[in-house]
Amino acid sequence: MIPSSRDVVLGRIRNALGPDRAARANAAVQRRSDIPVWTRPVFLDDDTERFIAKAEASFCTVERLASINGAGEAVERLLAVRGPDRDLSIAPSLIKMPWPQSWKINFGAGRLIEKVSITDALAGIAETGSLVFCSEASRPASLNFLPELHIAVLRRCDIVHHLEDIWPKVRALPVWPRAVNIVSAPSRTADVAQIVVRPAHGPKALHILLVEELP
Amino acid sequence: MTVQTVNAIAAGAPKAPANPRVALFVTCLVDLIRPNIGFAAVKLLEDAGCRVEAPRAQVCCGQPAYNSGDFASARRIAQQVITTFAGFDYVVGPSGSCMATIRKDYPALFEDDAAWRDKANELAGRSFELISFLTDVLHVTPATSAMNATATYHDSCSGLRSLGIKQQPRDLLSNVTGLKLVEMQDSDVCCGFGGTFCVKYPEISVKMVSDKTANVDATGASVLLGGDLGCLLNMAGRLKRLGKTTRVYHAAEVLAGMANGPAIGEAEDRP
Amino acid sequence: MTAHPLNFDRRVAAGLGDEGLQKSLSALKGSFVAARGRAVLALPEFEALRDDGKAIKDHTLANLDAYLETYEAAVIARGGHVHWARDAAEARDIVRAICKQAGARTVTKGKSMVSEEIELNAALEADGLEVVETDAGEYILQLGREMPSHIVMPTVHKTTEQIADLFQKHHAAHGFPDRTLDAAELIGQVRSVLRGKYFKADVGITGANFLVAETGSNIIVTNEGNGDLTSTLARVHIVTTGIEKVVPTLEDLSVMLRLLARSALGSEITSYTTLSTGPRRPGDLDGPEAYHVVLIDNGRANMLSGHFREMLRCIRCGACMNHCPVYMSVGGHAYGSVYPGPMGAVLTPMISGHEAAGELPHACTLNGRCQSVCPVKIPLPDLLRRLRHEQWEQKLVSGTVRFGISAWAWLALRPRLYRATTSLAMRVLGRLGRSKGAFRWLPLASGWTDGRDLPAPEGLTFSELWARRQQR
Ligand code: SF4
Repeated sequence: MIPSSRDVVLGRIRNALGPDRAARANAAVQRRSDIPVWTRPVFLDDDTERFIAKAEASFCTVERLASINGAGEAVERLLAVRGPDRDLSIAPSLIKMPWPQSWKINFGAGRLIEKVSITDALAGIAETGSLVFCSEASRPASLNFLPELHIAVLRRCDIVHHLEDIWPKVRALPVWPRAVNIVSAPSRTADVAQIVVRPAHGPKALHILLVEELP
Repeated sequence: MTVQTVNAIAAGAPKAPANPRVALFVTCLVDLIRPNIGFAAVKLLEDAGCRVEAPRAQVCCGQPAYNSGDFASARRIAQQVITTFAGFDYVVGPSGSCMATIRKDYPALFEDDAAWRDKANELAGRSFELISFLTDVLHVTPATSAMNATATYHDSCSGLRSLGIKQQPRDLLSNVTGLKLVEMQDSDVCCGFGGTFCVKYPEISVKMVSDKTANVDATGASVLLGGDLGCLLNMAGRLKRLGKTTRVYHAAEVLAGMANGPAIGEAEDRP
Repeated sequence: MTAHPLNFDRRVAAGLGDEGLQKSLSALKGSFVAARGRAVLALPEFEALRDDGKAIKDHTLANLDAYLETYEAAVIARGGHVHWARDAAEARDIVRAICKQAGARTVTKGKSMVSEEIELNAALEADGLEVVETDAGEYILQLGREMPSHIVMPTVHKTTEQIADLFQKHHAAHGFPDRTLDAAELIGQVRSVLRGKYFKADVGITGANFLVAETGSNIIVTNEGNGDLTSTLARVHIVTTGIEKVVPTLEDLSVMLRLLARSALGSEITSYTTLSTGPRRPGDLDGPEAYHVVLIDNGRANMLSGHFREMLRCIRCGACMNHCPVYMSVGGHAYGSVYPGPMGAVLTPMISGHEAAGELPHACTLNGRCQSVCPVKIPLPDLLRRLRHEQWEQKLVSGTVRFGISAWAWLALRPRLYRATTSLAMRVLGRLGRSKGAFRWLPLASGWTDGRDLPAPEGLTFSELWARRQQR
C-alpha cells in the first residue's frame, strides 16, 4: 500500500525526533494542564485609563457613556458630519437597543457598500487598547471589516488587563467561535513607499463607545 | 552575551594571581602589518603587573578556515593553538574577533571530541580580549596617556556581540588626557570587513565601509579608534581612498601612549 | 521554490546601482528599524519574552508530531479539513483540487510567504482561475509580475513613481485613468478595485502566522484587513502553512504575538489579529462554508534533526533583514529567492538545496546583528557557517577559494616556514609601501584595492621584533 502523505510527513518528523513517540504525546497532553507562566508586561496604570490611552494612541476614538441607551444619540452626533444618509449595519446582538426610528438598519452581515457598522465586543485589552470580537449567529465578523466607520460597543467591566486574560472568556463561550478578531486600530498600510495610509481595506475610523453598563 | 555576563564569568574565575603569567596572542594581522599594536598590548599588560610572553609557535586562530567552512583545518589549527598556549595563567590578544574564536568557537569545534573539548574549554576560560581583560579581570586603569584630538569609536562585531565589549574601551579612553570621544551613528554596525568577505564580495564590502566612513565623517572626529585591526585596515583604506585625513589607531596604541607614529595607512614622513 | 543561484554578482550590482532601492532601504532604517528599537526599549520584559518565545518553539518542535496530531484533531472536530503535503508540487495539487471541487473561478489571496514558496499563483492561473492578491504590496507585485523583496514589506524596492505607472496601466479599466503620485489615492484605488473581488471570490487563500494546537486555529496578523475580508467573504477558506507554525496553547500564542509585532513593525500589536477556526457555524451569517488547511513539509521535517532545527523557530518577522548591513546594501532581489536576508540565506539551501542556493550562505560577514535582534534567538551566523561547511564537504566551494584556504591552512600549521615566508613578504611590502603608507593597487589584490587603499605593513613582523627584544 502506498503510504499517505500524512504518514510520510509524520514519519519524517518521527525519524528526526527519535523513537519516544509516547513520551512526546504525553508531553503535549500534559502541556494543556501545565501551561508555563510566561513573562507578561508589567504595568500599574488603571485598566480603563490605559485602555483608552492605548486605543487613542492607535488612532481610535473613545467616547464614554453612562448607559447603552445613550448610544443612539452618540452615533447621531458622530454621523451628523456625514450628511443625511442613515443607512447602517448593526450586529443582530444589538437589535433590542433603542436605535432611532429614522435609521435604515441592516441587522445582518456586512454589505458591499458599507458606510457605518455597529458591533459589540466581548472584551477590551488594557495592555494594548485592543477590542476582541467573537463571531456567532448574531455577531457577523464581516461587520468589523467592511465599513468605513466601525463603531464598537464595549462594556467597561469587560476590559481585561493582559492579552492572556481574554482566553478564559473565549473558552467559556458555548461554541468556539469561527473567528476571534482582535482589533487594535483602524486599517492601514505602508506598502507604497513606506508612507502610512489609512485605510487600506478595512475601516478608516474606529470609534469605541465605552459604556458603564448594558441593561 | 551582555557585559554583565562577561563580568560574571570574570568574577566567577579564580582571583587573578598578583603577577600573572600572560601569553600574548598577537594575532596574525598585528604580527604582519602593525606590530606596534602588539607592543602597545605588551606595555599595557606589563604596566598592569603581568609577566608577558609571546610564544614563538603562534600563527593564527584559524578563523579564516572556520568561517569558510573548512572545519577540519580549523580544528588542526585550534589544536596547535591549544598546545602552544598551554600552562599560562591567561592568554590575551588585541582583537575581539580572534579571542571570540578561541573563547566561543573552539569549544563548539570539538563538540564531538570530549578530550579536545575539555582542553578547548580550559583555554577558553582563561583567554581574553585585551581591553576587557584590563577592565573586567585585572580591574586596572592604565596610566594616563595623552592625545589631543576628537575621536570616535567603532564597535567591531565579534567583540561586541560575542564578548560584550562596548563600554570598556570607552571607559578607558575617557581617561586619556586631551581626548574627546564622540559617538557616530550606527557605531555597532559592521564595517564590511568580515575576513575573506571583503575580497570575495568587494562591491558589497565597499558599500558597507562607505556607509561606515560617512558616519565617521559626520562626527567631525579627526581620529577613528577600534579594537580590531581587520576592521581598522578596512576603514583606514577607504578613508585614504576618499582622500580623508582621519587618523586611524587601535585603542591599545592610544591607551599605551604609543600613537605618536604614523596612523594606520599613513606615510612615515607625515608633515 | 525557484531560487536563482546564477548571476548573484549581477543582481548585487543591480541592487547597489538602483537609486530608488537605495533610498527605500535608507528609509526602512529610519522607519521600521527605528520603531523596533523604540518598541523594545519601551518593554523592559522584551529580553525575557525572547527567551520565552525560544522555549515555546523549542518545546513544540521537540514534540512536533504530537502537536500536529493534536492540531489536526482540533481542526477536524470544528468541521475543518486537514491535508498534508510532502513538497511544493503536492501542496499545489491539493489546493488546485479543492478549487476544482468548489467549482471556483475567482480566488482571493491574503499575504502568504508559503504560497510564494510553493509558487501557487502560477499553478492556479494555469488552471484558468482568476487569482487576486489582496495585500496591497502583493497586489502591486502581482501587477508587475515580480517577486517580493522583503518578507514583511514585499514592495520595499518599489518607488511611488513605479507604482503610479503600474496603476495607470492597469487601473484605467477600473475607472482610474489618471496617473497619481499620492500614496493615499493609490491605496484608495486598490481598495476600490478589490472590494468587489472579495465578494466575488469562491476561494480565499491565506497563510498562517501561527497555528494553535489546542483550538485548531490559524492566526493571521495584518494591518490592512485584507486577510480577514479574504477569509470571511469567500465560500471556501484555504490556509497554506508550513508544519513548523504550530504552538501548543493560546497562552503560548500570546507570547509570540508580542514578539512578532514588535520585531516586524515596531508596534505593540497589529491592527488585526485573527484566529480562524473551521467553517461558519450553524446560524452564522458570514464566514466560509468550508475550511481547509494544507500542512506543508517541503524540506522542513529534515531540518528537525541536528543544528538546523533552530531555524524552524523562525516566525518570519523580517527583523534579521532589517538589521542586516548586506541586505540593506543590496536589497532583497539580490538573493534570488522568495526568502531574502539572513533567514533566507539559511532557508533557501535547506528548502531548495545547495546547488540552487549557491553562494547565499557566503555573502555575509557573520557580524551577528541578525541574531541579536531575532525574537526567537536563532543563531543565524552559526547556521550560515554550518551551511558553508556542508558546501565545503560537498566540494561546492569554488576552486580558488578552496585552494587559497587550504594553502593558507597548510602554511599556518608550519610555524617556522610561516614565519620565514611572511617576514620576507612583509619586508618587501613594507619597503614598497613605506613612502605612501598604503597601496592604491597591488597585484592579485584588486578585490581589496578597487575600492580602498591597502595600508602598508610596518616592515618587520612582531615576532621578529619580539625576538630581538628578548635577545637584549
Ligand atoms: S530568523 Fe529571526 S529575525 Fe529573521 S525572520 Fe526569522 S524570526 Fe525574524
